[in-house]
Amino acid sequence: MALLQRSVVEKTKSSVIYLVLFIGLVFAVIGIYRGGVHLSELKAETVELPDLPGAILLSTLRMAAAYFSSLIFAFVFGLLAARTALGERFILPVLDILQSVPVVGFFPAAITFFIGITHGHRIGVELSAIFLIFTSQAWNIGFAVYESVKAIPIENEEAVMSMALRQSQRFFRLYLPASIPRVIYNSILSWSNGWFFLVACEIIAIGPVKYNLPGIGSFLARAAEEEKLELVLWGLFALVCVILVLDTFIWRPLTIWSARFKQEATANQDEEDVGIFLDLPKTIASRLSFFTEPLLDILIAFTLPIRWFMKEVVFPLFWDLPVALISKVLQGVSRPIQPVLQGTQKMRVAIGYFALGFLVVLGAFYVWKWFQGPLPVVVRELPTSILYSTLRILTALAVSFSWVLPLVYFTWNRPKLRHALTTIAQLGASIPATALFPLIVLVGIRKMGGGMELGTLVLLTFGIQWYVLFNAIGGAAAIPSDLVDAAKSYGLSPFATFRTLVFPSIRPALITGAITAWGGGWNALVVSEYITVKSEVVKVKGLGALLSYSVYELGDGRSISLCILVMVAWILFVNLLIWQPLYHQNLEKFRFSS
Amino acid sequence: MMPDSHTLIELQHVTRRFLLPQGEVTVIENISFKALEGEFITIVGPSGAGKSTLLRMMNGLLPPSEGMVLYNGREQKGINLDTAMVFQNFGLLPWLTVSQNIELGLEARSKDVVYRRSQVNRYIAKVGLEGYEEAYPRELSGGMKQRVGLARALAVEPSLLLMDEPFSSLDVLTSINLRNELLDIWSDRENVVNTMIMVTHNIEEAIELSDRILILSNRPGKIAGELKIDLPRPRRKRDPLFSEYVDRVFSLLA
Repeated sequence: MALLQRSVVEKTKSSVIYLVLFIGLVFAVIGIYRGGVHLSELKAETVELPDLPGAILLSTLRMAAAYFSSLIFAFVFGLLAARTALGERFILPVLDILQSVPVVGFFPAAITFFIGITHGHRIGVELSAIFLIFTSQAWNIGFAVYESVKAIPIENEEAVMSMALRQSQRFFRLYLPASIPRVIYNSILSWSNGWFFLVACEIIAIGPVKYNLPGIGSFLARAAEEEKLELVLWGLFALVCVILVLDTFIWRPLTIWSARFKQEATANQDEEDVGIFLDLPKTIASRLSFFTEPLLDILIAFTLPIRWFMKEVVFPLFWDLPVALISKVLQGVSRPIQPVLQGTQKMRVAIGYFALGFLVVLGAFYVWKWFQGPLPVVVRELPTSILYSTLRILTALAVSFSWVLPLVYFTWNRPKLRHALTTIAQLGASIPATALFPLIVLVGIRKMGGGMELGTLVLLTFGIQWYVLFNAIGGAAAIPSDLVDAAKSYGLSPFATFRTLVFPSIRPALITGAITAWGGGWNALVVSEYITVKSEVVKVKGLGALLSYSVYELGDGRSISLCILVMVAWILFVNLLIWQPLYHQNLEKFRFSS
Repeated sequence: MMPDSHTLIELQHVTRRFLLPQGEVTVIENISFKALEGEFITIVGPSGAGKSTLLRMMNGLLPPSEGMVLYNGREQKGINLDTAMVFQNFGLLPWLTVSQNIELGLEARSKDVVYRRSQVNRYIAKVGLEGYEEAYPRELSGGMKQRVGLARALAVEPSLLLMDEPFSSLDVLTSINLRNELLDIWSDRENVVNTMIMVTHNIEEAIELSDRILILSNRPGKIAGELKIDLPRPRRKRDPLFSEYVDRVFSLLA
């Protein structure tokens, strides 16, 4: 009973935090868009095939820059969230909100901001693209660090603590290795997420905004604009090749290597579902080890002095010393104010609510002042836009479910088929959906005349179906084999087995897939509802289109803020009130007790 | 116990509270006791009596909420590098080899490489892990893992060895072997470490090993009694005097 009460209290607390954070977001968005957006134009260039290698290279470099910044961010904030009470209370919800913000909506803001601080230099466009990719990667990896550190067995941590290792030693011996498996696993997701946004922001940049951001995304978009189908296909082919090469030679070997950092050697369940072509690096690595091993040894020998210097000089001086100093200072500060901080429980709650009330009033005032005068014209279209966009995402979800479920029905108990399916799905999912947009626009809308509504739906489905598929396959693979045997021994028909065993088992996974797809869908929406082809705008009615319209045609800060805030509020609202309860309810009911 | 031994660690009116979501819970209340140099002390008590908390305060992992811990007569603040801990579930880092795990404590004490290597080899030999230097913990059995845990603690040559139910996750035969080896290490005067404090819930184990048993009562943990074991070693469970001690511990626990 006490536990129940506690969880209610915790829930109220966390929803209060969400409210506060949302108010913070309101301030931030209005602050960013106060001055409206100022977009200058660059003349469009024509693309040729020889531009392709350079474009691919630039895009990959952008990805790498964003990824390394994400890693640094993830370790700093993941550790803070996992190891400080304040961090856990605030950083987690912040990450959660940031995860549900459709970052594509911020691209115009990011461009305006970075171009502002770089005085119009091209580096500003670069930085804003890198920032956008960063926002698609960092939160996810941050959660990985947080969860890994949280999952360290208490005795392992105590063992390290009881030896009084230095801060940096603790990080390199304990927190870093413990985080490696999940960080790499989530990095793969983040990395493909990154492609999606990279292509998206390159397309946006040369779309209505007309910024020069050479890369594979802008290459595809320009080729589509010039109706050069073969260039679009070449571009897609090159992109898939790069993605596959990176996956085979970087992510796969890293995943295999990371297994040694797992806390306990568990049954290699995920290894079973690795597709065929992804096994390649293992065989290649074993062939090459004859050459690579001595080479690696030599390299390691060369790094020895550097490592010694880092370990004995750099880290103690620039890490342990500052950390020790800061914690000493904090202790010194916190001791005299400790009694004040502790106070009575009631006082603290009262102060908290007072501060919250103040914030709400301030926020309301701020918003009221900002939207004073005639309301922007987009207001009238907001309700119907939300409705249409939501319906569109739900339709795309329904389409995804309608082909995923039969597939699971036929494959869940056939490991070989599932293996093959996973391989194909990995291949399909590795193409960022945004890269297909130019192709779909060119062929589907321009050549076949399918209409923009259909085009948007196809784009959207391509963007979200993999979330549903991978979750469903994963859920099906996790069904305990004794339950399968039990179903067999009772002679249940395949359909009855599916209905009574498989479907209930994969339900939580399906809901997880739907939640992820819901979040990802809004990002895809912003790109897919409003498309420029040859300076001619094709759009459908929806929130994504409304946002793009506000940015590119109105250039009105108030309309943009309004669209972004309404979108975020709506996503959070549906998340907190529909998806989360549904998920928890299902988890309770359908969990395998072990 | 040596006749001229002095007090190594002393707890003075130590109380420990934890802030849990349902409110503040007192786990240890007003405990005072002394451990003399050379003693083997076991702490027994029902689960939740705060045995492990007591041990962690002696190591410095946890500060007491009230009272103080004196080590060699001086108040102990932070981790006491003169102590080393052995854990119930070993606390070995899965990504480090046996040697690297043992070396970890030495690394924290900034010892040079040559010394570290020689210590690691010495204690690997002492606990009988030769040939497993480069193995990873997951490749070892429970008993071997605890040997690594023991070697890691001994390698820093602590004056006080703290053990938190070191034999609880091991099978019966393994734990008998390891108990005997522990007694050998303890009675071997060549070793630096000759004072040991061990938490256990196995009463026979406590009587078999220790000079003195500290019995804790439940929630909050207080000292319910203390028992000196005056039996010559090696002690045998069949011995009627041994069973008498078992009965006395049980009566103190009840």
